[in-house]
Amino acid sequence: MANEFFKHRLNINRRHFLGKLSVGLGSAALGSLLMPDLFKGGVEASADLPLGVTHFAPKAKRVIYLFQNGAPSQLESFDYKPKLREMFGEDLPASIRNGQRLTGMTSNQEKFPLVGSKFEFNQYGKSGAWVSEIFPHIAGIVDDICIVRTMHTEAINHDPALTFMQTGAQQGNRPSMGAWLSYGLGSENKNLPAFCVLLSRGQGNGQGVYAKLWTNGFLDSVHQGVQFSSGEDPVLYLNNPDGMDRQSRRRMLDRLAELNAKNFEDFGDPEIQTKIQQYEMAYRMQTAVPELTDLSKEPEHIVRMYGADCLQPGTYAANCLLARKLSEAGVRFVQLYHQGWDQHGNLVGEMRQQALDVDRASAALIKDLKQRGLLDETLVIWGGEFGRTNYCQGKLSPENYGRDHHPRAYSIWMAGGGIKPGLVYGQTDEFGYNIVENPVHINDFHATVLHQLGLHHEKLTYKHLGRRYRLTDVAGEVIHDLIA
Amino acid sequence: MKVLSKIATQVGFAGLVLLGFMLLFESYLSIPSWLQPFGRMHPLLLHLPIGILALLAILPLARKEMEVEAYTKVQALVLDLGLILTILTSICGLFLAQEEAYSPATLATHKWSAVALCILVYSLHAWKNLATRSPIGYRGLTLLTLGVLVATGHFGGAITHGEDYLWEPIKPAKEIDLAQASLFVAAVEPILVTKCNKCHNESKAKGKLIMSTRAGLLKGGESGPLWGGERPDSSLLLTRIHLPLKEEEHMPPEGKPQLTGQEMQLITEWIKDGADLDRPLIEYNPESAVAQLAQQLIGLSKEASAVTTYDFPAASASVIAELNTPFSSVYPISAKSPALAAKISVREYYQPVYLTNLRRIQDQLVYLNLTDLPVTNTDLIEIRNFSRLEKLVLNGTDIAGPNVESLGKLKALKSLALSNTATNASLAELLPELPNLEQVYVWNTEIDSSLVAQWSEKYPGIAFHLGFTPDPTEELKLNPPALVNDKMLLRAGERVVLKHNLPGAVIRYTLDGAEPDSLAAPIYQEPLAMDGITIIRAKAFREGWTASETVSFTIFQAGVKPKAVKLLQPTNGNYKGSGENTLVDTEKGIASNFRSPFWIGFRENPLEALFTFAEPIAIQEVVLSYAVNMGSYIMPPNQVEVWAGQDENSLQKIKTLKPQQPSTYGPTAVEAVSLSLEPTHAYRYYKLVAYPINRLPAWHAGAGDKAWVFSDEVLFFPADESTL
Repeated sequence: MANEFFKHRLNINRRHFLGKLSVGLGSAALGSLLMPDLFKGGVEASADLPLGVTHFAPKAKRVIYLFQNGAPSQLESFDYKPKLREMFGEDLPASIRNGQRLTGMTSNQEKFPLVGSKFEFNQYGKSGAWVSEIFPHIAGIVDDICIVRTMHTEAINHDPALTFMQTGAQQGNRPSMGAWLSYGLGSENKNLPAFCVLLSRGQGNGQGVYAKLWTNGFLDSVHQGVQFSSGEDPVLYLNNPDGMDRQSRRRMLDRLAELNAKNFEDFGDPEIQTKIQQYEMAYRMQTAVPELTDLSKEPEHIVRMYGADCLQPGTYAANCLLARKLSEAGVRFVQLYHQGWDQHGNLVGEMRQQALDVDRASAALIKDLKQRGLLDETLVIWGGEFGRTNYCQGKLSPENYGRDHHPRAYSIWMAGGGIKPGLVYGQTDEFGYNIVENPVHINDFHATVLHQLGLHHEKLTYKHLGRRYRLTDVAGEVIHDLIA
Repeated sequence: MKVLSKIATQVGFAGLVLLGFMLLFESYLSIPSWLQPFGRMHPLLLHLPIGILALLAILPLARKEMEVEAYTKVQALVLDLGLILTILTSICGLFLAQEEAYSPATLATHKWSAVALCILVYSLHAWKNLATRSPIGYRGLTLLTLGVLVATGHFGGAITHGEDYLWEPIKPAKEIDLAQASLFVAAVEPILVTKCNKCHNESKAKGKLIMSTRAGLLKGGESGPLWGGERPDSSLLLTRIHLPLKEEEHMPPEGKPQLTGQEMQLITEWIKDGADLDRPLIEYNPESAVAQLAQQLIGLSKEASAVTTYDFPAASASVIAELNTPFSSVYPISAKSPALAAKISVREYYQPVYLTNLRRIQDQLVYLNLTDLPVTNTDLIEIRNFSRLEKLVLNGTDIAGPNVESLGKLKALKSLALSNTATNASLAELLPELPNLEQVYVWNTEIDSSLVAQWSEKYPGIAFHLGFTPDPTEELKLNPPALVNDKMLLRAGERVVLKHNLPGAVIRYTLDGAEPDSLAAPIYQEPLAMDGITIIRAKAFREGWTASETVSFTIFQAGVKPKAVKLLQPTNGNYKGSGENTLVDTEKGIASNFRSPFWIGFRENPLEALFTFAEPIAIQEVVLSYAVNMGSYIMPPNQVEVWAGQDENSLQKIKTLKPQQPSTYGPTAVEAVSLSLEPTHAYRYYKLVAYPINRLPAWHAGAGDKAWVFSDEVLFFPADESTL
């Protein structure tokens, strides 16, 4: 990956050269613009490498994103709204809804009966943050996390919202956050992919996740997220086939690399280089991955910390433990998806179960990073793609209800990586419907995450189809209030 | 040409006289408003004489290329135009000078150099014959003109853009000492410099306001003082910056760089606080809004300018490149920093030489991560000279003891991670050697809470992290056993394999639907053979843990496969699965993932499928496997029928069954209904019909709605089992 821009320039042929000649002189003049501090003296100007070097000193070196896929209800987790309980069954006031769009699943409901959380809320920690009773372990770490209650998005359905959250655009085909970070930060451990994806599924109503969420988009394919299998072997086909030992594999790869290098000389397609690198990395992964998945070095109280299901591959807890090990080994971006948070009906039953899946392991991951001195350099993010409505979808009873999609306000939390701990940020109205104070748009969220990793979201660009693209497209502001 | 030359001479002369007149009586002049636009064309016009006069200076270089006659003509033309435009521009300039409030000093220099320029150009024009007679003298005069032109241009630029405009970008940034500086100098003034002073400085004081000096700030402009008075929050400055952008009076004007929200807040709070120009930053209450905002903004501007605290010389790029191998990463902590971070990876490939190599960057390394490597105390000797190391991660390494000899020399060390190592109480010998230590991580080492308490008292600056210690009284629940078989459909001879990953856990199971208890239920020891449809219920037990939930797996044995299958009524368009073959492809689905190709779904009409066998066959049992996912309205079928016959057009109903319906929400699962048939009758065609529930029951969120039926497989078990 090192230096894609440089390689690209080396690939210029005669036609390119003549085409570019017209702007040649201009480029020479512009060259000095690339080194604005040329005359300022001081630190030796390291030529503005676009890749693998952060723009300014980063707080975080790595990210673990615990994506709660399907959109967990903010009203049953971190955004406590007693008013909704008082107004049980009453219609959502038109002045609050304000004519804003609803999904086709509830827009034809005759009434929009408000419903408060079936679960109790309590205040925890020094920050006094309100957390629902179904997240007792997360409640135990509120002083280490920063709860943002005012996330808002533009999409109202799962796929576009998820794609927006992960790639900064609703339509797909853009690079995912992890791919951007792999591109911007490079690899810290060249024996593992810089961007790994782990999937798990709860019992609640689920929504799909697709490879487009961890795509490299138009970036070099080395930045693509590598999906780990949820079985006993997280990376399939790592073992050498029968009859082939490591030396023969090495010889085979060397020969193949020669052939590929010859091909590259003839055609100059950078994807060939990528392929050579991928083969080499896969070869080294044969050693690096078994070291990671070996749980024998983990003491039994790690199992007590994450919960027993951390030993069962494919569970959320097992993925959290694996995420810690990958991150500890230097993987820049570990993306988890836990499916099953789409509670249109039977919210009370399903959400309790979903929370049971993730609560202990999410908190354990934070504590585990902290006790290894890695929380300050690892940014952990927990949350979904949008929120859920304050009114009931379908049949309302005091015992059970459902909630539809709500993009205008929802809660996530972040921890470590220079994010201010023990902070509850933003305020929604007493109906939990609109944001009253300190909104955080997805673009702002992306800008802030990049900022924590030492990347300026306006400078991390890639030119494609004639224009420069960013994770934050043309918007986004770093939310400095979230930063410690 | 002649005409132009004459005009130029006359315009030049008249212009000079006019200029002289205006300069003499400048203080009596008042420019009528209709002439003001003329004056304001000065910034536009001035570029023309600059270009033309520059051409005049370059022209002699082309002399040898041209015929003498042509050269003389061109030179004359350039001179004519140059003179006319210089005079015109100067007159405009004088008009403009009357209008706006410019700093008299800068303005005077610009004005008088412009007058000198006019006279020089006029002289050049008047004596153009000299060019042939005394080329050297003429060239000298041309160069002098050019020099005056450059000077005039520069002074003019200083008026509009400020005195420092030209050299500002390459002046070293001014360092502010935060311990002494006033809050105004540290946080407010930088905002004024970037957002206000371009138009409100001593050279160009729009609205007669000068914001670049203290006196100017205190005095205010023609609209009055900037702040002070009874109500600070409605002072002039605050009103102007808070007006909507579209308002005429909004400052900074639309199109110019605007104040950010934080900057506006800071200025507001600072004015409310009394707008003190001299009060040091440190004297403000750190909790107050103004101090916090100031701190934030100072922090931001530091970040923005990427000022690093590291000022030691950087390592050479080639050394860094050499140290980057597949197992060792070395990278600068940021683009402009000489400080480096390093990480060595993969235990199996570790060689002490990787660490030895890092000595080449021992003066730059601030972060070193050796997690999980077989690094020993001997290896650590290599890093004793890493005098700038701030964070060292040794979690999971093979080190032991205090290592005073090597670690004790890392005087800059702030953070030391020793978790998951054999570190013990002798760490006490190391602690006094490390004056800058702030964080020590000792989870899962031999260090306990009493030691930590003792050390915390002795070293109040150090935070010791013991991490998670399990609560032995906490009753934790085991996870349930797992089914190893990847398919719920067993091929002939295949056995069922169960597994639990926690060492020491015991699996107990039942095959009769009963709850496995901790005493009577058989212990799973080896793979189990199954027959037909079996429901295995299994549970894990272990001492010190609560027993797991019971899991239940419905295991199907593969039946006889029909020759063909045909759907007589369509699937719902969204859930077509893999078409009609979904029912006989021996692939089982997972109930929560009903969108997968293993399931077909029906709602508007029943599932109605015709199965054709190659020849008549006696079937003793038909099994319909279906999903139950109540949250998604997927319920057991209301009624299931089996029809059979020798001719596909005349089938008879031979069996009807109503599966049991749930009475409340239950788990999402794959279930099955088994219909036993007369084993004596052999048919060629079998038809299966499964009707969705028409109206969901009252307890369901979608009460009254139509439910779904999802099926992944239909199995036929022949009367003669040998045909399987």
